[in-house]
Amino acid sequence: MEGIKGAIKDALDFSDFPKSERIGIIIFYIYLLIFPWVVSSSFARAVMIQFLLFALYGMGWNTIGGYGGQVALGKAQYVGISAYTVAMMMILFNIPFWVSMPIGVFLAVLWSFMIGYPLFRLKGHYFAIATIAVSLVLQDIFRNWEFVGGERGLSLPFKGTPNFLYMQFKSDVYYYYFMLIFFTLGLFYMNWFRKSRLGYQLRAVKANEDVAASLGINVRWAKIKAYAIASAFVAVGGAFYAVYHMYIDTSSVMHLELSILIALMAMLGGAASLWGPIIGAAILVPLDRYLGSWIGGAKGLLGLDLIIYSIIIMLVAALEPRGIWGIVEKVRAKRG
Amino acid sequence: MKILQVNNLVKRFEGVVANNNITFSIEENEIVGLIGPNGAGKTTLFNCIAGYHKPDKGKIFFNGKDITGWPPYQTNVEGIARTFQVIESGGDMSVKEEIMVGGFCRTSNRYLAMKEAVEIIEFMKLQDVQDMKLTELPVAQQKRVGLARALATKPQLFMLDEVAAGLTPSEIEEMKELIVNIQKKWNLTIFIIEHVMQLVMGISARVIVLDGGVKIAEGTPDEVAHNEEVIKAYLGERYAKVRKG
Amino acid sequence: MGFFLDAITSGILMGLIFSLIALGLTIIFGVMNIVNFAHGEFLMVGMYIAYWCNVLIGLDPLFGLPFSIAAGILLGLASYYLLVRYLLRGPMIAQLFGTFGLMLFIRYLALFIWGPNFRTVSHGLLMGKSMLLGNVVVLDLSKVVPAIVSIIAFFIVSYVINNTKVGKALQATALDAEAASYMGIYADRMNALAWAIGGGTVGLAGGLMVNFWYITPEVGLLFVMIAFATVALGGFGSIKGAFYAGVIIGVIETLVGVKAPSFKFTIVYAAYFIIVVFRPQGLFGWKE
Repeated sequence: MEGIKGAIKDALDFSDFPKSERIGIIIFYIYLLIFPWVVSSSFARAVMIQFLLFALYGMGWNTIGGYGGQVALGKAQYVGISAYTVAMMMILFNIPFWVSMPIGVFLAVLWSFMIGYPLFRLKGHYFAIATIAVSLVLQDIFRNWEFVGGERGLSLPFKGTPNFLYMQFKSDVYYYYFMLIFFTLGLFYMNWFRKSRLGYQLRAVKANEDVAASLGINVRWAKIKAYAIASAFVAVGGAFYAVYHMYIDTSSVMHLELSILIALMAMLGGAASLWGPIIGAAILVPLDRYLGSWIGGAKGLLGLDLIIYSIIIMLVAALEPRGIWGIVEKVRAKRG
Repeated sequence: MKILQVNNLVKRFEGVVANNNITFSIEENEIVGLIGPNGAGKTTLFNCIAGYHKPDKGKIFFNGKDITGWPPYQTNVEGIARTFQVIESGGDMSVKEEIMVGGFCRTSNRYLAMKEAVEIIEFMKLQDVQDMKLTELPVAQQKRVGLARALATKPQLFMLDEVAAGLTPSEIEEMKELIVNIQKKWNLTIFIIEHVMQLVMGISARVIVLDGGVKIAEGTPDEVAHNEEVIKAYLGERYAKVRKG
Repeated sequence: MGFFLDAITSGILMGLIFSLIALGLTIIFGVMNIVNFAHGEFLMVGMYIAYWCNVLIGLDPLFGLPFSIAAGILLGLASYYLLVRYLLRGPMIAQLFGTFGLMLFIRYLALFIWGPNFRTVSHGLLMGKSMLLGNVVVLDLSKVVPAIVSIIAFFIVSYVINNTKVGKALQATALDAEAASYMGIYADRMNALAWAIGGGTVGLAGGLMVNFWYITPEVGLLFVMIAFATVALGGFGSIKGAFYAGVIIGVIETLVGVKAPSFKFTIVYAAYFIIVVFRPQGLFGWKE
């Protein structure tokens, strides 16, 4: 009991951040709270929902990728597992979202243990490529598996009337606030996580695995645990994606590009920092959506949005691998 | 009471025998030195005990328990801590956080880990640098952090690998004092690899000498210093003959 | 039985192309421990160059090869000097993302310029011609000739690396860049050379492949994954390993393709995973 109390206290305690950052996050959060009342454009709302979703994905990736320093590039498979679970359970047995989501998350975590155990025998490049390979295998299987819709994908049955149990609403405002709740819980969890034993141990693993082992850390197991946590995060997002879009296929919830994007959000914003994935998502998601709607769809300009994307990736990797938050910290260190 | 017992330990690397049939034991609360020329197999022996290498033959007992071939984290949890020759860290952690990682070995409670870290930081006089990163510190301070984070795991057997390498003479004196104080404060058993004779001969109750992977001598610092085999190993065959006359 | 032999031979022929694609990847990895995600995109560019040589000036794909090689070399050098050099200063994660960004950049630039359409070279000296082997196996010339060129390319590259001064310098850098630099070998130049060889050989592979494969901006990812599997099986950094592993992967891919066409590449990804987990040193050991 005492432990849970301490954990909750840690999760809600942001006092180790500088005052400017605390004020910044409060202002940002208030903006998030009132956003649907200020902006009524459904496109803008959709962009914000996607921002919250990707921020959640990015926070999850940050456990294994940021704090643990393991370049996991197959996170989309866990988005897919839980999205498909939610969709299939609703199609076959009419099971509500709030029941199927935990099952989807559970299956994703289970799969992550099964994959993580052999995966974490590997390091560096071997690991990164292997994560891609596994997710491609799963994607191929789902694409060719008629039971789960194969190439056609799955459409969720429409209930007709707004329904909380199945997460079907008339207005996207509802989706927005549910996503905001997930985002908020995710943020509190990560705030606890970074101060937890596993959080510290992962950073030690990232710094030097031999030293970490000499301090009583079971390196492989620590990585597997963090990988499972990351999978749970993206699985929650995947379940939400299924009921929000009412349609899924392998290219929307299992594609390699989604995996990359998830990692990129955290990388761009600043891996191993609490704000990094949020900043990354806040920049990349609107950039992607607005670029996509302005120029991506225009005739003859196919792929331009992704070209801009890739230039950003290369610039960050070459100039400041610690991302935007790394630049902020550099500037701050110079001043003070 | 024997805290560590090594029996007939053999470790080979692709044909090279790094440790050949080594047997020795360490008593509780003892400070034991491990010396020998470069390539004698000292660090290999440490790595076998701490679990970084799997011995090809032989047994290692810690507090009477067979720990042969255990992985490093398990030997640490069991009560063996070690430091590294080169303090490497590519991480973004502050000194205090590094030491807290050690503290988290015995507890999952952050406040207890922090308390542990603060206590050790004070003892090690690292207060001024606790918010800096390891890589920003001079060598002597880095070595102290290396000791501190290993100590935070509350070991019974503390194995130090060349803690004095790269230090100035006055820093070596400080280190010597520090090791003795650590031993007294926590009632530890210390096993120390060292090239700096001033340090290892000054504090060890007993010294074990390796040469070419074989244990060639064992005894008090004084006995070892006058042992023909040891002198030969260190200074070569010719010098020993000259000395003999 | 004839059908089985057919699958095996066409698997070997395809496999020799896989070997050639993997050659550049394994050299770059061997010399500087970097995985080039954009490798498949280099291949794609080599294919487009051959295609346009054919369409615009009517050059047969066989004679377009020098242009594909040149394009590959230029691309390799440009990637090294404009991007990879800067990535080397950062952590591994930055290197991964850097070449990944390069992959996306080249792919979508190609999409932007050339559009998403599938293209094929429809006329060529080798196309539609075949020969019989012992009255049982039909050999498609458009695959036989590329396979032979691949073997020649392997022979030349191995000869250069093992028997020339510059090749030995490259090996020295691969073994220990710092020690090599004390002997007056500039790692920077050797790295550039590795990228030039890597780009050139995969450009050549692209030029050869237009004889029997379609061309799209998205063709790269599939082949880079196959190349990863090949390099893993052969042992990272091993040239000999890449050669044999490519053939093995080619045969597996073709045999699976006969039974379950939609899974013929799935098996390659799965193979990569299983190989690196259970035999991380590959079939032919590490480079050291």
